[in-house]
Amino acid sequence: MTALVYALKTMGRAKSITFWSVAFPLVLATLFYMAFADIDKAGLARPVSIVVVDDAAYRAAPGLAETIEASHTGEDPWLDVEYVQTETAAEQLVGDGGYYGYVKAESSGQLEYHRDWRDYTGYDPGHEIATALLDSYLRNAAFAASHPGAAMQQPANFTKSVQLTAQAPSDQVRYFYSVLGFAVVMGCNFAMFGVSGLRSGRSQIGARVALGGVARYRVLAPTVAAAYILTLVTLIIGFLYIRFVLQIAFGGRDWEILAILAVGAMATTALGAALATVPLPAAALAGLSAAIACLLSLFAGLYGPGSQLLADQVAQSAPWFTWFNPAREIYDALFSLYCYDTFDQAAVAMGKLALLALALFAVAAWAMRRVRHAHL
Amino acid sequence: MADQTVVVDVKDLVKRYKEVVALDHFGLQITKGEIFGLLGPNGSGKTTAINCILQLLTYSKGSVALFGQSMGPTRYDLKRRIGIVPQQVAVLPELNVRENIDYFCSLYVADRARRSELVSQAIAFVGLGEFASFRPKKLSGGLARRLNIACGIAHQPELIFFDEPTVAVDPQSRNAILEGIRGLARNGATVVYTSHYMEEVEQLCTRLMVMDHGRSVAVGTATELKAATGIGERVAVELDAPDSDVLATIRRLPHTQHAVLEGSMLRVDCARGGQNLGEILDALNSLSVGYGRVYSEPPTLNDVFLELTGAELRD
Repeated sequence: MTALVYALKTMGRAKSITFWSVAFPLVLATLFYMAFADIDKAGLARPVSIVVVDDAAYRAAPGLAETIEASHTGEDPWLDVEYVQTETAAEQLVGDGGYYGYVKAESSGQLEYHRDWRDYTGYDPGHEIATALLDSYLRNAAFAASHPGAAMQQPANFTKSVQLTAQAPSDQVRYFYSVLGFAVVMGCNFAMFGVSGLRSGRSQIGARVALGGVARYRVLAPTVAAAYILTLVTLIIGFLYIRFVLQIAFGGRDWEILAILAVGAMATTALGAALATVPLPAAALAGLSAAIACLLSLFAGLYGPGSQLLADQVAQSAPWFTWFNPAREIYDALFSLYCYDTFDQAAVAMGKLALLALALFAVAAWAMRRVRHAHL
Repeated sequence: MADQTVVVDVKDLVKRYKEVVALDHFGLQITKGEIFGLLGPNGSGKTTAINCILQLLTYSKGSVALFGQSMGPTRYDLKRRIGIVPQQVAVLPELNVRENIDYFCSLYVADRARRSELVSQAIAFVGLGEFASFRPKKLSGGLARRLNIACGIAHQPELIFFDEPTVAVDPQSRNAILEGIRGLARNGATVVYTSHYMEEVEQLCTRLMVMDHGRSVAVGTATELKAATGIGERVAVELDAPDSDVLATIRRLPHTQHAVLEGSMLRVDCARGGQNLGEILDALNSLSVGYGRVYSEPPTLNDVFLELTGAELRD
């Protein structure tokens, strides 16, 4: 117990590790929050402003007035309509700016959509919405004309919302799950710091410990346990911050997420213990762990859309690679909990992490047995 | 009568680093209560010898017995009776003074109550009472050295290795450290002490070994080592009229090993034996050369060390 307490104190008070493992992921999450808070809203259609010539032809077109009316009223209006009496007035309004164009019904029953092309820069969802709506009206009107007596329905009446995933799709959550993946890998610093400090060849402190009157495992085991505890605590802090302060959705399955983080902490503790056996100075080891965290986070989609595309492509074309990437496994597990009703995908990711942890612990134990002696 | 129990018994130790022989059939015996000085130029094998004794290094041949029992890497029963004070301050910067001593003591003593008592005694022994809650980086160099010592001796070991514990400390701290080591020996501990400060070793150690090229070159008390070499006293005479004829005359004296003129000061290194000072003054009188102040210094341990290991530079 004494060794555990002192290992907790030693690692917990190491400022650089605390910064990189605790503070930095929080800062990163906050920056993402500031940068991407509105990303999910960016893809949503806003009401399209158009002008409608409300003349005799408009009123004579069967169902047109009802269609337009239904499209700019209700909770999610597609159109923002300004009615005018004449085409001249409509041209004037569009010419003044602020409208996509105007709609004019012809006495022949045709419908004309006069687009304002002045600000055209390419694909324009507002224009596509207006066109699709008017096309829909024309198809319905044609069908009604050829099938007298058929009831005309408004688009709103024959479309319905279908929920395919547990949560509404969100691009934003990917960044925060990647941050937690990054934090998991950075957590390896605790074990790396603690275990490397005990190695007799690494420092005089290590030599001093090696000369102690207790077996090495009785010092190493509490150190690894302390590293695990601290890593898990930092991950929980990160999760709580993202979940409750930044209000990022996790699918409402908090206990399952804690279980995922617990297994992730095990994997990264094992990674830190294995890295501690690499014969490099402490500063070089810290740089190595940061490089590993940054590289693995690339394949967890931390660095934006390009990184996410690359990460997805690698995950699809080389799924074995994810076995060696705790950041990606954490990301996958969290995202599966967000999207799916079942725990199956998350359980698979947790299983992979647990196996990775066992393998890395085995490597660390082998390497530490191998290098028994060192100079004082 | 001193206790003649052999605490450290090293026989015929051979350690090789590929083609380099670091220890060449090295042997050492230290008895209980000794303060044993291990001297040697850099690369002479001191550290290798200590590391082999402590089982931090494997060796090709030979045996190491401590307290009459064969030493091995997993002899934790023997390790609990040993303390080590490394050359660099090897303490945890994240723990305060008391916590550091307690941590290292916990590697030897499991009982918390007993440990608390030992830690308090160690803090008092090295005089760090008012700094007990300080982190190491808040301590001066001397205080940090004292903490380093406290971490090595808190569990009250019977055999303590000090590896140059006074490097870069001021004279006051050095005196405190040396007096502390004497105190440990008075309390029954056996001390193995390495240092490059010859004066300090001469003051402190009851017996010495000079090592070079992985071998023991000489063993004995400081007096015995001085007697074993041919070095006599060093004489310095302030001449009224120094000239080359005087110097040539002095150089021809039978016990003169080396003579130089530094300004008006004639410096002569003499061989052991004979009436060196008298012969020099007689020679000056016969040349009618007047002189003022005259100094005669017995040989130092440093002279012995250089005589035994040579004056050429090491790494």
